[in-house]
Amino acid sequence: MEFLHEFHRIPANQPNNTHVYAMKKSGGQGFWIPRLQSTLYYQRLWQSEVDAEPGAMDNPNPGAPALAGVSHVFDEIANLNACFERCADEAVAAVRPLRTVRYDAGDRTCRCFDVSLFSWTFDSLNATENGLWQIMRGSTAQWYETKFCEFVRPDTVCTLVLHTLHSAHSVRTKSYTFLQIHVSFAARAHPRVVQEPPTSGANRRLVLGLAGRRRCASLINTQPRTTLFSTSRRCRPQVTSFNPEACSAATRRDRARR
Amino acid sequence: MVGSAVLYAAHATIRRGYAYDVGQGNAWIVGVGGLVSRFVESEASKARVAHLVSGYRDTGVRSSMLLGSTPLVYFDNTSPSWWPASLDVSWRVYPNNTSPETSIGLAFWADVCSSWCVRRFDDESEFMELDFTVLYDVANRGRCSCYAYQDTDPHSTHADKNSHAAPDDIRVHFATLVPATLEFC
Repeated sequence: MEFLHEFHRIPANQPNNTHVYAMKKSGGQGFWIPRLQSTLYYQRLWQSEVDAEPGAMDNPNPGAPALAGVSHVFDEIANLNACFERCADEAVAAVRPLRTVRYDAGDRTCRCFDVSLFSWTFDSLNATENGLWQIMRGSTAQWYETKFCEFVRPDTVCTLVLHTLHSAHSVRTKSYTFLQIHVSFAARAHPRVVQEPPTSGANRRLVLGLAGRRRCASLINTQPRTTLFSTSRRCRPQVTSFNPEACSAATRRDRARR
Repeated sequence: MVGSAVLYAAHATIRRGYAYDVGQGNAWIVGVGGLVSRFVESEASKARVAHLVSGYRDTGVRSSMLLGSTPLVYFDNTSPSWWPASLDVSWRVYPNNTSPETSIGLAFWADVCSSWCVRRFDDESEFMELDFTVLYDVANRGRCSCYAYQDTDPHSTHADKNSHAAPDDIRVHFATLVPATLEFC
């Protein structure tokens, strides 16, 4: 109860209507996407009929608010799950996050956003926070907060997204040959490739699902410009550079503890 | 367990409630031109909470764990200063006039506060404080504060001290999957 140590009791002769809670955000629902071998987590933003003008979402007309973050609009999407799949596919292919999805069962449109509109503010001064939203009677749109960073199977500890910034010559399809996974794992744990890297494109990426209890994980790459990052909270601390010395030291400490 | 004065004092202080889902999630939306201006149901705002203690206040020492605060705008049976005098007294039945003195009312404000914390700080927020002794203005009473699990100031005297884990069955489940000492190199 370290948190409460510095809370002070309010004297009896003063109003004492204060309450302290522990809290944890709800996890939401998960949607398994076989093609990506991943789970997309989602939660509805608002109750029905809280919506935004289509013009505000897609078209920065003069004088109209330009909504940043629309990454793609799909038409003729049959249902919500198909919308999730298309947005997830698009996000993975384009190497961008997927934070918000809007599906309209009425006109069967599916919009994918790479920013969270849940806490989105309308201007830099936060003067008109949430100025996007309206009560639109009869709207058939549904807004969802999604978690791209948790594109992981339920049985996977976390996903590391490896962006390789090499030239096309150095990557090719033989990425695995110069990617050596050196992990100090407990028994029966093993790294698992859950997505094949694309064979072309400026930013190639390899998604590795690391299963089991991990003490120290390192991705040893012969290419020094490789950077690792993850926005998943489960994957903290974030890794921004490769440091084999630090890994070796951590591994030694880990072995010593055992 | 051996009873002691310390134990009895702890029992008198900590009246931890069971963990429960706050309900529908009550997110305040202003909307275009301020035309929404109401609490709306928000699944993405939902949280699981557990009451820890009443009658205690953060005196600022934990400020390095504080993520942010917002007024709760509890009317406390007082007409808001901005309420047009020509209108009726329908402000009395607004959700903002819900009394935190009742268990149901307190659950409502806990929902409001946790929703704000989730919306603003996502799962970074692991504690919250509702303080209805704060008076901002006439009929603008109450403050919601969100706190992180760890000290956000590395130079704080509390920097190396974590609190207990938030009450959550999911966390317990993940605890078997995610070791506390994840290290990436």
